[in-house]
Amino acid sequence: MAACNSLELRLLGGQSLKSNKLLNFRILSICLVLLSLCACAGQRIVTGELEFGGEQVERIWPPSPEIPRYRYAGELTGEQNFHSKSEAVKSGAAKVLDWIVGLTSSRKESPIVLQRPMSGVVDEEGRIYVTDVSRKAVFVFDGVDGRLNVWDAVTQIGAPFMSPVGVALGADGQVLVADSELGVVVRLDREGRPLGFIGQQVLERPTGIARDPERGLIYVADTLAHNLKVFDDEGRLVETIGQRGKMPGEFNAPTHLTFADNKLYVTDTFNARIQVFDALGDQKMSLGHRGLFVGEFVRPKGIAVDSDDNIYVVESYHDHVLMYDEQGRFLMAIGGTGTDAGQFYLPAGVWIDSHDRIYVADMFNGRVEIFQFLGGSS
Amino acid sequence: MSQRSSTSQLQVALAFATGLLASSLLASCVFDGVTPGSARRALVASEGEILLYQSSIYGGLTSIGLDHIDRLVGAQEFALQSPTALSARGDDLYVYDDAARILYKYDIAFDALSEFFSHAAFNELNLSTSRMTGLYVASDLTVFVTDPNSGRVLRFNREGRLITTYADPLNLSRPNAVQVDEKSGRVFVSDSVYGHIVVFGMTGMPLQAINSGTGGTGQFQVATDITFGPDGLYVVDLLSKEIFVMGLDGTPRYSFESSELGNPGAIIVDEFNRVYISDRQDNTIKIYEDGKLATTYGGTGSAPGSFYDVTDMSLDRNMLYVADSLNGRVQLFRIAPPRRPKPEE
Repeated sequence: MAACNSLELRLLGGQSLKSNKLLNFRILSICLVLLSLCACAGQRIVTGELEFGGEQVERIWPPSPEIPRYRYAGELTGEQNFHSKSEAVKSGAAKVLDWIVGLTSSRKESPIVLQRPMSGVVDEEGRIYVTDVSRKAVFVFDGVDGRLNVWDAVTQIGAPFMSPVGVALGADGQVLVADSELGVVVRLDREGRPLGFIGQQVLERPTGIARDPERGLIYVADTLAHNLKVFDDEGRLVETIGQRGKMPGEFNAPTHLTFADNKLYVTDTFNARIQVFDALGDQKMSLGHRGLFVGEFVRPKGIAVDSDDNIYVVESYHDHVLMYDEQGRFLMAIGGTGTDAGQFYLPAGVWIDSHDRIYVADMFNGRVEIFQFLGGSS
Repeated sequence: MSQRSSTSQLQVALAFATGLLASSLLASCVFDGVTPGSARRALVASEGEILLYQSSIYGGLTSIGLDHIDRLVGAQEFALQSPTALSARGDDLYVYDDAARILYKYDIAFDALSEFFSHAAFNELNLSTSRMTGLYVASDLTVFVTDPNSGRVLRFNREGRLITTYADPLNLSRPNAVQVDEKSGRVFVSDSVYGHIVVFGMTGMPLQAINSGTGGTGQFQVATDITFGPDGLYVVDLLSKEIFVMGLDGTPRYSFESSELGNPGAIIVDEFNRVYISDRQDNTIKIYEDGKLATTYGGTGSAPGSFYDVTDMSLDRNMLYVADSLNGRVQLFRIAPPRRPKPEE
C-alpha cells in the first residue's frame, strides 16, 4: 500500500506537469492498451483433457465407521489439470535438448495457475468458471472443449478486471461477473467477449451474484451498501432489498449468494448468519449464529445448496465447510487449516455442479478443492 | 518547431512512464472488496510475501445499549490515541489506550468501540494509574488484563465482571505480559522485575516459576513479551535480544539470536512456526523462519504498512493485529501461508 500511495502521488505529479491534457490522456490510453496487448500476447493456450487428479488421494468424510457422505474428488489449480497430449508424447530427445538449451519457451513462461480463487459456477455443459482476485481474471476450466481459458479483459479496449468476486450464469449462455473494484457486473458471452455492464453508478461494491432463471432476475450483494440489488436480464434495477442492521431482512456486509429451488440464500457475513428468501424477496429463514465453536459462524462466506437441499457454508475464520440440512440443522464439517485434502487456508466460495460435486475455493492455497457428495439417505 | 517536437517527445515519454506507473499501480494493489467500509484487503499474491495489509482501525462509533447501528441517535465517535496493548479473538478486539488510560472493546463486525469498564469500575479496581501492557482474550472470550502497579493479573468475563485475580506477592511484582495455555487452562505471566514467568492454575493458584535461576545458559534476563507456538512457549529477551523456546514446564528447548533486533517489542508465532517480532527501534516487524531472519516488514511512517512504535501484536487465526501506538491506530494484516510445494511433474 505504501508503494501504491507513492505511485499515486507520482502519477498525479506527472499529470500536473503536462499542458495538453487531452493529448496526454489519449497517449496514456494508447500506452495502456499497448501494455495490455503486450500482456495478452504472452498468454499461452492450454489444451488437453480436464482432470481433477483426485484418484491419488483416498479420503472420505465422515471417517468410518460412519456412513461416508463425501469423497475427495481432486483439485483445480490451473494448467496442471489439463493433461496435454502434446506434452505427454514429448520425446526423450526433445527433453534432453530442453535440458541442454535450458531456457525453452515453455519454461520461460510462468505457468497458468490460480492465485487467489474466490468463487465459481459450473454451467449445464460442465464448464467451470472460477474468479481469481489476484490474477484479476476468470479462469474457465472447459472440459467440453478441453481448454483452459483465462478471461481478463472486460471491455473492448482491453481494460482489465480489477477484482472479480462473484460469477453466475446469465440468460442465453451469458456469464455474469461481479467486479467489486469496478463496481459493476460484467456481462460476457460464452467466449469471454464483453457484452456490457450492469449496475454502473448503482452498485458500490458488488460481490456475490446469483440469478433466478425462472423470473430472469439477477441478485447482486452490494457489500458496502449493505443491501441486495435486483436487476432484470436487461440490467434494469428492479428492487433493492434490505439495509444495514440486525433484524430479519437486514444485512451487515452481505457477501456470497446462491439461488436454488426457488430460494435465495444470502451470506450475511458480519451478522454471522445465512438468510434465506423466497423468490418474492421475503425472508423465510435465518441459519446459524455467532460463536467460536464448529457449526457456529464468525466469518461465513460461500454458500451453496446440493440436490438433497443440504446447505453448504464456508466458514473462513475456521477454514471449514459446514453442512446443514434444509431446516438449518448442523450436520457435519470438513476442514482444518493446511494444504492436505480437505484442509483450507482462508477459503471463500463454494459451488455445486449437476453431479453433486462440491467445489470449494481454497483461496490462500491457490486451488479449488472438489468433493463428491455420495448421497444422504440411509 | 524543434522545441515543440521535443516537448511532445517529452510528453510521450512522460505519458508512457505514467502509463507504466499506472499499470504497475493496478497490478500492485487490488482488493477483493468483501470487507465492508474502508476495510479493503490486498489479496494479490506475490512471491514470498507474508503480511498482507488489510485495513486500519482508528476508532469507531459507540454502540452501548443500541441494537441498530444504522439508527444510532447521538452516536459518539471514539478515536484511539495511543493503543499500546491488544488482543483479538473472533469479533472481540480489546485495545488498551495508554494516552486515554481506557480499555476499549471493539466489535469488529459492527465497527463499534466501547469502554470495557466504566470509569468508576476502572478507579475501583485501581487500574487507572496502572499502565497495562498485557492483554489476552481466551477461547471462552474471557479477558486477562495485567495490572503492573498492583502486581496482579485480572480476569473478566465479556460483560466486564471480575472473575479471578491472579496474584503472588512473593513472586509477581510487575506483570508485563499474560498468555493462557488453552489446553491446560494455565495462565503464564511474565514479570519484568524478577525476569521470570509465573504459572498459575486457572483458579488463581500459583504453580511454578519458570526461569527463576539467574544468568544460566538458556535463560533469559527480561522477557518483553511471551507467546505460545508449535514448539511451546516463546520468549523474547529485551537485553540479549535472543528468542528462547521452552516447553510449557519451562524446560529449555532451543534459542536463537536475533542481532538484527534493536528494541524488541511484541512476539507472535504462527502455526507454521514463523516468529514475528516487532522492532520498536526501526519500526518494523521482523519475521524469523528456522531461527533466521526471513523478512523485514514495514518501516517508520504513517502510511498503511508503516509503523510508529509497535508495542503489541495479536494473532487470531490468520489475522494479525498490530498496535501501531504512536500512529494512534490498529493495523490488520492477513498472514499468507508458506508457498505450497509445487506438484510433482
